[in-house]
Amino acid sequence: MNTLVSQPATYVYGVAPAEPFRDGHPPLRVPGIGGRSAVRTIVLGDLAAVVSDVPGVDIGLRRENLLDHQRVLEEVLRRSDVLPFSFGTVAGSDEEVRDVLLRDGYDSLLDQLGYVQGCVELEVKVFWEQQRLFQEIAQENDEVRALRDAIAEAPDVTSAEKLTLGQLTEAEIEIKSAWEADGVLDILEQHAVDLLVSPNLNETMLLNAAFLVAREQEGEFDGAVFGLGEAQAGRLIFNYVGPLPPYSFINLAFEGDG
Amino acid sequence: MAISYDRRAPAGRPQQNGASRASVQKMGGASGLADVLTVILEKGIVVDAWVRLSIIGIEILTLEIRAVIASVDTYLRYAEAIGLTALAAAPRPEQLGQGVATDLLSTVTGPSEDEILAYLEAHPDGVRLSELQAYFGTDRTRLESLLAQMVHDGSAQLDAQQSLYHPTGVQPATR
Repeated sequence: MNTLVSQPATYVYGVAPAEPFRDGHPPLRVPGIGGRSAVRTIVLGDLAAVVSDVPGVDIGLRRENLLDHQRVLEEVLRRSDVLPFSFGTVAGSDEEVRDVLLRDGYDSLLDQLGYVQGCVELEVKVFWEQQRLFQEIAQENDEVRALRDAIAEAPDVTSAEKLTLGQLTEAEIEIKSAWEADGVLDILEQHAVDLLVSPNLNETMLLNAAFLVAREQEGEFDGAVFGLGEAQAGRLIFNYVGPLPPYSFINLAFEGDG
Repeated sequence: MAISYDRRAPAGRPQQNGASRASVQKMGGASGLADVLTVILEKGIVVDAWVRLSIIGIEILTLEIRAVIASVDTYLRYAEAIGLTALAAAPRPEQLGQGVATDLLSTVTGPSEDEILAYLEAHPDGVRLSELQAYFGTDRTRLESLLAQMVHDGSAQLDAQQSLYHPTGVQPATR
């Protein structure tokens, strides 16, 4: 999908405290979206918006562009706290960024920066090892096992029986998933400042959680995740990503009608 | 200007096809992209009045991802999976939850043919599938099907003996 920006415009990556970006500090050495324009900051008071110019740049939803957006924010995150913008946000001009975002949103942005101060986001997604999940259900639930064997022995099994087996299985997956998710959360939340659990949208996913973790606690949190992964090896699969800017812990949406 | 709390529903992602891991690896950059895709697209600050130029694609993508499967079809697949547990040497059940959303996700998070070709051209001595997989941080199945398509289209060739992929027009180095 090509989305070429033809007019002068300013792509926004995020908002950070101004101090680490004032004169005397090195510029951000990371390519902007589209790999072309230099990444720079627009400063107002104690806030800095991290931006780059986009005319002539294709900012469509593509892998390279997503990675560029992400890399800029990772670079900023190495230097300071940052409130990330959703991918693909383009302001008409630097003035709009200064007036609509930094000036009108000044106090809210400072509040949010205070909330995430010194923290990063770590994402933990947990999945069932499928074969193991179904084996456990068949072992633990007599009704499921009986129905399974009945269906296996009947050559012309009705689909109604299969549906019943499927429904029983689904109910069992829900119970088992909630139990395991609670166990994982109990351990990980001890090392986090805040957490956000999102819905599982896959049948074998049992936990989809984001954690706000103080930088100095990150090693501890890593250890807790790795420990869970080892204890549950062959049973649960952990997808662990980070550190990210605190995407999931920002509650700001600007209408920007000013 | 009004500032409101963001009530957009958070979303997860379908499971990726692929082998299980015995231990956990912390991912970042390209390798973790698929896992944080919905976060990058749906969370963070939004200014409604500003253009999100890629929004059309995003809506399609997240709609697909949000399509929660709860149907007769699901029950039948569960029944199938449970049935397999009765067999002594049960074959691994087909991955569940694979569908349109996963395909779309791979389209966005996986490399394009052009990217693969550029990498092949930069390595005229040939590249193994595992090397491409490590470089692009994407799943093997998708890479394999892309490469098969490229070989079929004639933009790449496979040296089957050495399991090396080459860009078309470059002969494998013979020693």
